[in-house]
Amino acid sequence: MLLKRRSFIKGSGLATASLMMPRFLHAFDADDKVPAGNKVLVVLQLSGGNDGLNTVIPYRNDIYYKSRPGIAIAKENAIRLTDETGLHPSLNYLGKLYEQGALGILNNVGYPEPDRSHFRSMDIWQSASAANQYWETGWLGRFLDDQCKDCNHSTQAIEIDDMLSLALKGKAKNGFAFKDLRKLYQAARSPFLQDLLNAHDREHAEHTASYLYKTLADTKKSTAYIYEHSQQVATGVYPNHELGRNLKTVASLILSDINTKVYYVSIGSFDTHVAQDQQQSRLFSQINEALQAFVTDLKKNNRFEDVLIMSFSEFGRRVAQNASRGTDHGSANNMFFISGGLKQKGLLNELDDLTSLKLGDLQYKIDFRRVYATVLENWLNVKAEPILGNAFEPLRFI
Amino acid sequence: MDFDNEEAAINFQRIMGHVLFNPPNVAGWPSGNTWIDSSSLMYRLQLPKIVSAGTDISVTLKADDDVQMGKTARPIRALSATIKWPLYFQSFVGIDIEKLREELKLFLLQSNTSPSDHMLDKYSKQDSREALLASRSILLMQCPEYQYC
Repeated sequence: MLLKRRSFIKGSGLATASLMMPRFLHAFDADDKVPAGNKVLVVLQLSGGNDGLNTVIPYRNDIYYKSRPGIAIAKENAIRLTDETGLHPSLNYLGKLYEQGALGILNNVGYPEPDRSHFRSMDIWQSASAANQYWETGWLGRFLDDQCKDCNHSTQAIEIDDMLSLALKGKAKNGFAFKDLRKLYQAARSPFLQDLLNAHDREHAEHTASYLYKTLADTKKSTAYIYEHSQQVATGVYPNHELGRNLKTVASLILSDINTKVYYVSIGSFDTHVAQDQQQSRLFSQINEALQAFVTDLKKNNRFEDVLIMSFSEFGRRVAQNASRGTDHGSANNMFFISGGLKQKGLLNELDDLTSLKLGDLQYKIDFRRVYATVLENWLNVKAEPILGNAFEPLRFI
Repeated sequence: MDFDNEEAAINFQRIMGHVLFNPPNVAGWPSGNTWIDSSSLMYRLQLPKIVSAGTDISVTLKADDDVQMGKTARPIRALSATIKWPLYFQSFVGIDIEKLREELKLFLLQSNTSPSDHMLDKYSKQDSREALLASRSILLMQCPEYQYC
């Protein structure tokens, strides 16, 4: 058995001494943690269908302004990226990341025969199925199956939420979801449940509820593993809203020595049929603040090169605005990639083509499963084909 | 049992992952072992205790944008319900207290296995017939076996 130094110190009488050590001395433990170079993926889901055209703004495009007389963002308000492109005014920190070469923007991502139901399109994105397939497992769940064939605890993929998304459900293994790790840890430690488990272990019989006992035991083991190996201390100041708190949890887990490679967080709702600008601005400000705190924290701890933040939404919105100063469900959309370790930066491909619409909707150019293939192969270092069920040509930005 | 708030009853079905007559997609409910995961199992196991004791709980469900149209989901807090214990106790009227333990198991669990009486005794209240019935029923409902009912 490989004894980790921290577990050893904890278990030995030195625990008190170690706790009294000032924080800067703990820094020498660094090589004890998940080694640098061990890549981590943070998926940021923008639920509700974010309007991509008011996120990455083509401010030299007349069609854009003609289609959206009430809600288009003026060139002077946008955060300038290039002569033709700007970001939504609330995303100024992303503008800084762009200047630093830590932001990649991929336009026109989607899939054939787009579905306009939130639920269905989200299922497609999370399961990585085609529009006419209904899958019961998610792409990260299948990644987990691959990673955790005979591992002790399936903690490679974690969602910061009260409930687990389809994306993290595998065939053999399921990811782990929690918002408050301490609460889950305490619930899993209830003496009655422990006695139940012990009794079940002694029986050794094939049991009706075996699978549930196993899930319960796994939950207990995984929670204990994460709880006991994480310091539960993020090192920065985070904004006090849901996304801020959730990214703080993610940072504290990344900076501890657990084996988690994928974190999943969501924010919403971006379903802006009415008065789009207020809602989108409010959510973008939260994202902007939370990412600033998160990236600053990672940089301070020299982990920004190893962490990739990827944002996506189930669909984009229609090019033309509606009568309520909002937009309705559309198709293709853009994705953000934020990391200190990008190979290609800035605008990764051309902007949406507003001259060749299909019934008023953008036509996708890049299948989102090619993005997944890229992340799996080039970042998480696994073979993408078995996980995605088909071969998709990876891109080269990481 | 009467839920003080009918919406809460639906929400708890959603937490557990199975809303009556409303499967997640046209493929139906997940089959095999994918219907349950760590978080939904933990809620299921805690639920009987939460309802009976009126303990506080805060859970935010996944947003359902097809229904909410852009509004943010609020966390579900205390689930208040009144358990009609007297009605429940009537089902066991006339049963000898010695046989009560066995009857309860048959009544609540549909499985050939169940936790031992010895262990259940450790956590059951024994001071009266009613206290025994109530506390032991809650315990049995917290067993993984009960989730198959």
